[in-house]
Order: sequence, then C-alpha cells, then structure tokens
Amino acid sequence: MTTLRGASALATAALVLAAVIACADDGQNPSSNPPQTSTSPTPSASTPPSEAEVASEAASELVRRYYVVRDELRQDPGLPLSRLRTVAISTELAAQENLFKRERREGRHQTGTTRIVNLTVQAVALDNSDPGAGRVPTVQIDVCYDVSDVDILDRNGQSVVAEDRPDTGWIRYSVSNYEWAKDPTGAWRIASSQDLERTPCLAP
Amino acid sequence: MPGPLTRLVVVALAAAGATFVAQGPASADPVCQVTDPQTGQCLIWIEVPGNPGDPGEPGDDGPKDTGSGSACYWDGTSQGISNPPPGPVPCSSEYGYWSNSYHCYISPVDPQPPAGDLSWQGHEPGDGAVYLCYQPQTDIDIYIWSQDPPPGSGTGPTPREVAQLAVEQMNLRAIDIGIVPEPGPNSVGVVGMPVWMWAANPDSHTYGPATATASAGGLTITATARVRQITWYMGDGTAVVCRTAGTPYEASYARAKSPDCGHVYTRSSAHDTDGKYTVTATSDWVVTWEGAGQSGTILLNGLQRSVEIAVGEGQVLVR
Repeated sequence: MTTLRGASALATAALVLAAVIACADDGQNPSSNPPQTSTSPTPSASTPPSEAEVASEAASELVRRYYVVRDELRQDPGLPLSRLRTVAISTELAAQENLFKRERREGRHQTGTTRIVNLTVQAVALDNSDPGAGRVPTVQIDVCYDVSDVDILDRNGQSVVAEDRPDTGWIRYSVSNYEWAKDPTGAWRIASSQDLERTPCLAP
Repeated sequence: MPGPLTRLVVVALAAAGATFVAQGPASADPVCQVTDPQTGQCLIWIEVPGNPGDPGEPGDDGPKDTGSGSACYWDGTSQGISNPPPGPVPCSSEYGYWSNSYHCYISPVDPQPPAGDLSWQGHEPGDGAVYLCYQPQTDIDIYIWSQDPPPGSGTGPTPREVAQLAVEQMNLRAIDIGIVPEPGPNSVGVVGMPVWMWAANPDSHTYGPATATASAGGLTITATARVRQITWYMGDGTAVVCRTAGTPYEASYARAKSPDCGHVYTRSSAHDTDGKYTVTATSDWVVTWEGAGQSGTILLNGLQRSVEIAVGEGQVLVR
C-alpha cells in the first residue's frame, strides 16, 4: 500500500516522497499481520539513491529503533535513560524523559513488546538553513503501532493501562537531523509526534 | 500575561489526577496532541492560555517587618491545584527561570523543534521561539511559543514593593490632633491638671484600617494599613505612647484623667519657645499585605503633626 499525502507542514522547499516502508518489526506472528508492501520505486543498482531516499531510509530505521529503545527502557527500569538521546531530541526527548522518570519513580514497568504494523514516509524536507532554529532536515513518518501484547504494571503488579486504550493507533513523527552537514545518515532523531485520526492498522 | 502568546502545547506525564488546565480561568478544553501507545494516556496536550492565578490565602500578621517577600511564587489555584499550596519559589533553578504568569520555569527548547511542529503554533522558525515551561509542582511540561522570551519574575518587583504601591493609593496622613488644653491663644492648661490627647475624627486615612490592591510585574497584592500606636512627644521631654486613638475630652469629664491617652505637666511652658509646648503626634502604621501566595508586614513610621499648647502655673491663673 502506498500512501501519499500533502506535506502542508513542510511545504516550504519540501520534497514529497511517496516511499512506503512497511514492516512487522518484531516478527511475532507475522502471518496474522501481513507486512505491507511498498509500491514506491526501489533504487536500482545503477541509480544511486537520492538524498531524500537516503534520508527516508535512515529516518525510518531510526523510528524502528525508537520503538525498541522505548520498550527496553520500560521493560528494564535499570537501563539508563540517556539511551533516549540516541533516538529523540527537542520536544520529543523532553517529553519522553519526563514520562520515563515519572514512571520509574512510581515503580512502573512494561511487559510485552510494541509492534510496528505499518510505517509510511509521508514527506521529506531537507532544508538545513538554520538547524538550531528549527529549519532542519525533517522526514515525516506515520506509524501504525500494535500494543495488544503490552501491559504497564505498577510496583504491585497492577495494570495502569487505561481501560479504553486501543490496541492499535497511528502517530505521525517528525524525524529531524540537526547534524545533517556532518552526519547525514546517523544523526536522525525523533523531534516531535502527534496522534493521527485514522482507521485501525489492520482495516482494509 | 504575555500578549503574543496564542496557544500552549502541554506535555503531560500521564500523571494520575493531574489537571492540564494550564493557565487559569480563560482556559479552554485541552486537546490531546499525542497519546502514549502503551498506557493509552495522553502525553501531549494543547491548551489555550489564561490569566495568572488569584492571590493566595492570607498568612499571619506579625508585629515585625517581614521583609520583601519573593518576587517569584507558585499558585496553582487557577489550575484547580491546591497542593502544593500557593507560596514562594526560587526565581531560578535547573529548569530555567521562573515566570509568575506561566506558573513554571521557562527555558528555550534546544534545539528548536522542526518547522511545522504544532508547538510553533503556525509560526515559522525564526519567528519567535518555542519554550519549555516546566511545573515541578505538577511534573507537567508545557511547550509555549512566544515572540519574545517570557519575562522572568525574578527581575520584577517584590511583593513588598507592590504593597507599597497599594499603600500609596491609601493616601495615609498624620492624625488630626485632639488635645485639651486646646491649641490657640485663648486656651491655657494648668500644671498638674490632666491633659487629654486623641486622634480627632479618625478615619481610614488617618487611623485606618485602609485597604488597597495593586498589581505590578505579575503580582497582585492587597495591603491593609492601620495605626499601631501614636507616640505623643509632649514638649517637656516626655513621650507618651498610646495604643488607642484616645478619648475625646468632654466638659463633663471635668478634672478626670483620660482613660487611655493622657499626660500631666509638672512645669509650665513659660520658658519654652513662644511660651508654649510643642506637642507632636507621630503615627506608627502597620501594613499587612497578602498575595502571590505570600503574606507579610511592613512597618511605616513618621507620619506626624504638631500643635502648640500653653501650660501655666495655677497661681498665675489665679492672680
């Protein structure tokens, strides 16, 4: 499935990329959640990938790693929260750090693993004119997650998960590279996120 | 309240019972920006700012001057948060500098979020900036956009200074002196006879209580002033301290002593300047102030007024 949306938030000098990268990251029961397939052109061996394609691939990989890091930090409260700095920055980093600090103070931990059902690159904008001020290369990526296997428990082993928590949902991530000039592939971080109103992951 | 601010992005910590009404009575219903997938609880909220909170509860009055108070204070009542109660906070911390208007520590987001992020509130990078507003009292992060850095309250006026603005509105004056023997050329007192002193026609300006409210620098302070005592310098080297307004003399009291504020001269004023005693009444005021989650006391001295009275020896009058 290919999803192409207008990149209004990144309209300025934005290169809209219809690259869809679907996956079933954890490999758990892939048969029940078949991975999505990309219909976007795949760079051939003779055509070097464009900057946007390289950025999309790196940002997508970062998002996958972000989910792994978050799961690990919640599953093992002994792991250092500094790991968040390898996957998040700006407002996203502050929000996640505070969330995890609070959960650890309250003795909460996670069981189970979050699964990425769908990961779709929506837009790429490689404006690097003023990174510190926010004019920074950014890839917008929509993720549909599945937390049906996940529970958050307090120190007494009681679940603190909201009763109405949906098992699946969509989030749009802004993945930015504030060190694009010197590290165009390895310095991508999630800078912000927002919910998306969309049909469940598995709906047709 | 910062004028250019249009909206707030509130990052909540999924705290049980936390209230995300960030800025007071003008707040609208918050809208969730992003949900924590694992708990299903909202992680980031968008909120419309309101106004600074109301003044806190009054504290204890005290006879001593309590100093300036803190220019920086926490008051969560506008958010429906009573614990912790309103009170002073350090004006700076590891989280930034304190803003009374936002009720949080302010620090610029570094690096700034990418263009198009909701925290920019529709502005382009370079047009103002996004700031992190952290409330340690609630463990809530608030992302705000502002054209200019929100002012820090540490550089603003102290509650005492705002209270003094309120005092200036009260137009406090020295008392109008009531005294027998009366001042003037046709009245002479007698050595050994009771002298009555009182505040004539006392009102809120001359004796209190007078109340006024002033606002400055995000602080709103209500001050109440009243006379604590009047010190009467009788001109013969005696100072009489009266803790009441005194009792006006009436002819029916004859040679009785004042029940609460009086004096008896033991020598005539004939040898003083102009043959009279200069009687000076000095009012000592106590001002109690409350607001900004604090309370305090200011002592004001020096409002005084004088009259001249003549006191003669009894045998001189007989002759």
